[in-house]
Amino acid sequence: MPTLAQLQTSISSLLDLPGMPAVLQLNSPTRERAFEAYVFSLLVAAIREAGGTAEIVGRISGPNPGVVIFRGGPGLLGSNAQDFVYANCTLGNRRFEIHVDVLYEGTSEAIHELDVSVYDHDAAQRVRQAPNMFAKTNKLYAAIECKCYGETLGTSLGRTFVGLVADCGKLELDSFVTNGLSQGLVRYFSPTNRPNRFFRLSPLHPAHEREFIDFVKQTLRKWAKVA
Amino acid sequence: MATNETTSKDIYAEVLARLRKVGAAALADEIERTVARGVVVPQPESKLYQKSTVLRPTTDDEKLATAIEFITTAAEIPLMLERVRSAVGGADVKWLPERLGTEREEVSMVPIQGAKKLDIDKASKLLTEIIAIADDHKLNLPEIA
Repeated sequence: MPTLAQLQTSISSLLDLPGMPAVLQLNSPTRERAFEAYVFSLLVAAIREAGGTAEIVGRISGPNPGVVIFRGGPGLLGSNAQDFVYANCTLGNRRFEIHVDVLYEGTSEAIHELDVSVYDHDAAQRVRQAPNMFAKTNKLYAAIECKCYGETLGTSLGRTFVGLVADCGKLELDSFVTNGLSQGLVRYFSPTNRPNRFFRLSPLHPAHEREFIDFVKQTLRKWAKVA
Repeated sequence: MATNETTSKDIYAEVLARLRKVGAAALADEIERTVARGVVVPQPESKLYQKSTVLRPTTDDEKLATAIEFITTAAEIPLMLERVRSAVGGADVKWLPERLGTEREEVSMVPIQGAKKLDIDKASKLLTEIIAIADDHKLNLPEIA
């Protein structure tokens, strides 16, 4: 078995890698945005694996933009202030879109931020005709809360997400995902009526990544009535 | 009998010092604040309840496990961005505020550019190695209060 001294050596070698100090200096909002984009890419992969299509579209430039621009903070689905991207998807007869960091109007008319969401394509097209309008959650199919590991990962985030989902109407998929672990959240999400949760979702844990992709695939295939 | 074996306490202290040296003081501070909060542990029986939960100070192994969790989850961001690039196919990935000056949180692009110097394969190998050794030594992340 490798010794603790070897652990120390491996950590030192990691910190000594050129470019690593810059990575470790990234502030918490930057890490959050990167994790959300990663979860977006896993959804894209899941839809393609499920036999569907997922085309990356820039709000202004159209399909396959040269530079992929994500929102730096929550914003309107139809915003044309920047060339924000979304994934235009088909699966069976369903047409839908995947968005990152969009503000939605819930059933109570309160405004909610959703890290990664799946929204009806036709409804999104209508919202884009009025870019300053909040998309309503009645055409929202999936809500995913993403949390990059940090000191604030605790049960309060789970409570907030449960409250948010309750104001979104019926969803086909609702999940809380993080690249870290919180035993408090494991317990909080354990009752069967709570949203699904995925811990240690990261390229360093391929089995967990696979579990999440398979879950999304199965859920969306069932919803789209694809065998 | 005296030994000069490396302990989890030594590694934890060195890791924090190294993080501060490479300019990641914010991450080191976050680790210290987290371990200072203590650990939640279930208690089978107490004078008051049949089953209860108590708060106790973080042990040296748990402090190191927490530091490793923070470092590995922060260091894997470039690996995630590689996945994003391969899924979206664009030449570059950026984050922009909807309107300049309206952002509530600052997304720092400069370090992301700096991170491009990183050898992703080497980083991935070392991160996997660190996680495996920590698992072997049962350096499990506790339930932080």
